[in-house]
Amino acid sequence: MLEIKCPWCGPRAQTEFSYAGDATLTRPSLDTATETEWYEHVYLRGNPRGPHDELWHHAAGCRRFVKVRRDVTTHEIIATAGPHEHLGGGGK
Amino acid sequence: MTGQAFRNADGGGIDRTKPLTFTFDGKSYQGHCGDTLASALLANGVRLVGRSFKYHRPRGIFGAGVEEPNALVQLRQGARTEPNIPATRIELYDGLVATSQNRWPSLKFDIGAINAVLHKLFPAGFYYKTFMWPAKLWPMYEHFIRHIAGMGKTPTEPDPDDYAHRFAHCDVLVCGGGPAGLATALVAGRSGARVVLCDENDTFGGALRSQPQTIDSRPAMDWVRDTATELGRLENVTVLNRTTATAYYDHNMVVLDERVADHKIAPENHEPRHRLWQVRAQEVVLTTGAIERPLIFAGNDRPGVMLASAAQTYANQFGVRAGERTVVFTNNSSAYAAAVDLQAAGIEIQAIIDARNEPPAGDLTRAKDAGIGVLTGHAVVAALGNHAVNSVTVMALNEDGADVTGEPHDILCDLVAVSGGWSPSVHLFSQSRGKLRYDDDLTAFVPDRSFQRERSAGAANGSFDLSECLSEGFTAGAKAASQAGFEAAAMAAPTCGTEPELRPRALWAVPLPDFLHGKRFLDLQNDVTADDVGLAYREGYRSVEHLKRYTTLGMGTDQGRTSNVNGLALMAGRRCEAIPAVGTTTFRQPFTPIPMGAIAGADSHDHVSPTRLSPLYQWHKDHGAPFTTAGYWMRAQAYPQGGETLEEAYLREAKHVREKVGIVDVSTLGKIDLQGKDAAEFLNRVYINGFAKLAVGKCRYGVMLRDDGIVFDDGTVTRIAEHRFLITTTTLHAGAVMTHLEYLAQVEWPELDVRMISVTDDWTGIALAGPRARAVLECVTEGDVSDVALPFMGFQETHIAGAAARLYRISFSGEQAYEINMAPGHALAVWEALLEAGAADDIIPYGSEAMNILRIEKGHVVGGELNGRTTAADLGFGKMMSSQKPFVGHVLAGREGLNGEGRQQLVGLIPVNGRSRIPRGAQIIADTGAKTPIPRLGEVTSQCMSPNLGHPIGLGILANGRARIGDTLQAHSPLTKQSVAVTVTDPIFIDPAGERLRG
Amino acid sequence: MADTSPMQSALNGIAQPGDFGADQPAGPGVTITERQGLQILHVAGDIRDAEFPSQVRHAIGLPLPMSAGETRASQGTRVLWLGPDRWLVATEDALPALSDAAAVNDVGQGRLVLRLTGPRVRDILAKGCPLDLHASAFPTGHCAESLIGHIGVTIDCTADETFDLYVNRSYAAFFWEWLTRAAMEYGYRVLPAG
Repeated sequence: MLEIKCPWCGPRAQTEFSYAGDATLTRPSLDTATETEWYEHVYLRGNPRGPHDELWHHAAGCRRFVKVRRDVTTHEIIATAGPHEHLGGGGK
Repeated sequence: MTGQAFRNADGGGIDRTKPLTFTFDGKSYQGHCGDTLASALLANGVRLVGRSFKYHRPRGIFGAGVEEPNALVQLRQGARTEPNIPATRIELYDGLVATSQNRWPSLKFDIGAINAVLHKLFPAGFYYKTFMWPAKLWPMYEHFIRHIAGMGKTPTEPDPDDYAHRFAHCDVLVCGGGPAGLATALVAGRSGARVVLCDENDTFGGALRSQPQTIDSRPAMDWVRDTATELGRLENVTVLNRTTATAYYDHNMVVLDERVADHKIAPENHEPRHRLWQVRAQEVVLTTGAIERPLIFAGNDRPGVMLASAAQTYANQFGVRAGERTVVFTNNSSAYAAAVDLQAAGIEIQAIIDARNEPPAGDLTRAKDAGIGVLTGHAVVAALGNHAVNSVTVMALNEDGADVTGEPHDILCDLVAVSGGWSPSVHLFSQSRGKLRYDDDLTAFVPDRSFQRERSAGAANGSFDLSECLSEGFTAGAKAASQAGFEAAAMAAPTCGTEPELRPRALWAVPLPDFLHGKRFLDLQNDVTADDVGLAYREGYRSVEHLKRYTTLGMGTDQGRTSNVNGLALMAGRRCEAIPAVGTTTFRQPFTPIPMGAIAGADSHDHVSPTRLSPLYQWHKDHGAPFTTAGYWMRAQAYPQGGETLEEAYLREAKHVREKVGIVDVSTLGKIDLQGKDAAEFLNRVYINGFAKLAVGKCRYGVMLRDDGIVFDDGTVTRIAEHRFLITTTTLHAGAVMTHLEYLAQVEWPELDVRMISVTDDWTGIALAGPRARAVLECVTEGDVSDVALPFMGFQETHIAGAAARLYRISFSGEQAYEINMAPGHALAVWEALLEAGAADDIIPYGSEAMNILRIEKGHVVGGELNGRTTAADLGFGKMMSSQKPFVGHVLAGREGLNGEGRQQLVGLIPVNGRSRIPRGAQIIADTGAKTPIPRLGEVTSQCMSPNLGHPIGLGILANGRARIGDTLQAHSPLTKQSVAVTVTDPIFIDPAGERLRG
Repeated sequence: MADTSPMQSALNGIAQPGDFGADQPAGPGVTITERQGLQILHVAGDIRDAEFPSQVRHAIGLPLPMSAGETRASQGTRVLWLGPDRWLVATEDALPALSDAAAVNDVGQGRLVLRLTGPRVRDILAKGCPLDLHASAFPTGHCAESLIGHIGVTIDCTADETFDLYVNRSYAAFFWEWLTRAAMEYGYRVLPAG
């Protein structure tokens, strides 16, 4: 079980969180984006090895979304931040 | 009762004043408090304790602890029986009952032993090769194999005991309470850090319990007791005995299995049998010790062949002689101490057979002083005997150990104490992703690079000398505590008696001379021999992972603790590669088997998953309602009257509501309170239809899509105030909708001023429906609920039966209907007041089944239709989709593939014959007689008997469904092989103009 | 118009007063009381909006706690930090009137509130709660939202070895069973609701 540091609540057990998707994506504009842009946003994902930015939802805690930089090969969590904050720590 | 002929009059840590009676295979014996089942059996001269897995060979006790591969027994009887428990890990208690396993009809005469005679038929991979074909017969093969190759028997009755879970956090977790672990815990504990120290045994001390040494000129066990006492007194230290650190997971989460009551006949005073700890540690110190390896020679599985350290343990810790006359066979120095101790315990030492040509002078002196003869450069090539060893054959090893030479000679003995070197217990280290290093001097894998915040100390780290163990422990404790933020300093190691270095000679299997035949067992639990490794090599299974799967080497309850290293070393030899190049198999959790009950903990019986109850649950129960689940919720299905069946009840209820009036508990619907200056704008973006112009005091039906344009959920939205809305969701999607809305508000549109919380638990919902609904409502409220004051899709805040309530004029049934929300504490009073007030109008309660019928009759969509593949247009909501504003999912909803020809659209279905029920989940096809594969046109998503129409109806999604209205098709269920001819209709069966709900 | 309708506890017919579980010579490991009649508000708002915290402070007489797990208390009233924009106000007094600056919901009847007190209370909660409940990590005056026995629970350490648990009402019966089963080995006492 991972331990994820919620930027608001502090370190909490993984069971309090739900995985909420890829945090590297930029959501297309609701007004102006094309079908292609939406298609790429909804369906196309990289599958990078190593550190990856993801969103987790602190569902059983403060209910905030948290950006987590996790090494997907080792589960090491390099940094966490709010969804609009810059993740510190850098890659490995 | 048999005397304990092999028990010494004194010595050991057992309490001779406390005799305990136990039975093994139906025969009664005595042991003492402090015994294990294994030591008590040996004390009574019981040496044959089981039959082997594959060949049914007689087997005895081989080890003294967790490494035991052989002596697996069936412990206890009835509901508490447990299979495959090593006798070496069972603390003796009065009344213990154990039986041997894998033998029939009896241990001494086992019919399965014919397998041993037919062993040429049973090489490695035998089962894979033999039972491959035909696949159809596999179930029969499996039954046969399980019977003959079975181990113990699982209980057939429910487990009567409780099992607990426990989360814990600490600064320093110390796994293993031998000298290194105690030293670690002492330093870390004195620093003030929160320390958890666990050890699998009942008492601390590890190897010191059976290998007498000195610390500061006193017996080492005195130091152990003093240290354990001090640790027990420290408030910041949690000391757990009978607790195995069994799994190491990510982020320093270690699972400990505490055997709270396994050493008793049954748990006492409500204690759990096991407690499974999930410990999150800042720092972990692994002081898990080491396990002695065997030496491999022909007949090395015979009862009487035993690890030297085990024989020493039985002598020193239990005062038990594991035999009368022993040969000690070793490739390293540790067995010399064992030999001296065995001799002191009264066992005659025939000889020490040392594989090394030139053992260190200290070893030879030690033997000489004890009057023990040493045969250097020799090996035991075979152990002879049937149910027990009676002699060994010894020959000289040649220079490189690849062959044996010279004259064989036999030595009489009933015990062969073997030592093939020591393997540090690196299982947890390896589970933590630490990297191992092969140490040529130790001929063993030792921890190299840590991955997590963890360190190893003592024998687990490859350090076997006591003073080294202590100083490594002190250092590890100080480092771990200071890494965790405490001030700690390593203490100076006390003076200890020195033990010689191990200096092993690599000898992975003693060569088998030409004149001998016999099996050289590598893995005693799985009956894997040294020759099987050769076979695997020849057949191409050369990686250690393949070797394991092909031969089953290292599988089973002992996970190859005494066999893995020898096995991979033999494979390395075959491959002409160095041992590190061959590598080890993955060390998997758990280190020792954990009962299923301990894993389940409290999550058993009714607690496998949470249950949610409406405040009206008890009323439903008291009125005879059966329940069904919707997510975690329990919903009342119907209220059977008199002798009604469930179906009769809900058909009656559904008819009654359309004719008169009824109430139903709708508390399970999701409710979200949305507030903020931008709440209307937020809803506008979320729903396909517009909400900006929704007036205060009005409700509106809404549909929301996913980003991919597929329908996500539907429900009503009510504008409570200018900047406040109440959203309802379907029961099943309530959580997902809440998360979706929070995601959009927090991550994508943080500029919008909105906040939301789930208020599902804060408002109990009762729907009042039927032509007499308003008449009933007027009796329980002083407010104006006339059609003018509260028209269809209107909303009021009012009082119902004295309780503050939110009153919505919405209808799921298609009748004149109201949904009343009130605080849950008042729900029962309101419910009963409605029933009382409605008595004159013949009101009834109705359940979820009737509610479902009413909604199918109206063509309302729920889970079957909102199946993650249907679009708004498919479901008939196409016109609701606003073209005036963008909304979530609108772009991809416009994709070509989600529109136009061939889309599966919502339709109604009526059986052509007017009688047949439409099969649940049926596929819709044109012609049942067509050649397969028959094109699938759609599927039945909902079906019921309609008591108001007098015939069965259904909803389905059907390719080009709206264009097929009037067609006759087949609803075919391949599962039940039913086919019903159906006419395609509009999905709204009753009151398509909606006059009833506006009335 | 005031509520005249009778109230019903979520534990009606479930919780019976008495001593249960293991015999403990030193007394039960935990004593459980349902706290009835507590007024509870869920308050959400933006602390960057200057009006919001001051209005709330004015209405409830306590400043909003601003750091993780912080609580504020006065006689009969507690304010719990739930997140950077959410608080719980629990009071034995009349409900304070809060202005439009905050998004407020009355959640008093939607929660079962249990007061647990006794020497084994942390041991019992730790059977199902992944938080660090040690007194040094979860002292008096600390609160958190987390899971206990798979259920979302708001945990408030109100005094030495005393915790108030706020459980969503629909889970009340399930949670009660979990809690009392967890408390069996330490012995527990149920007092009449108060």
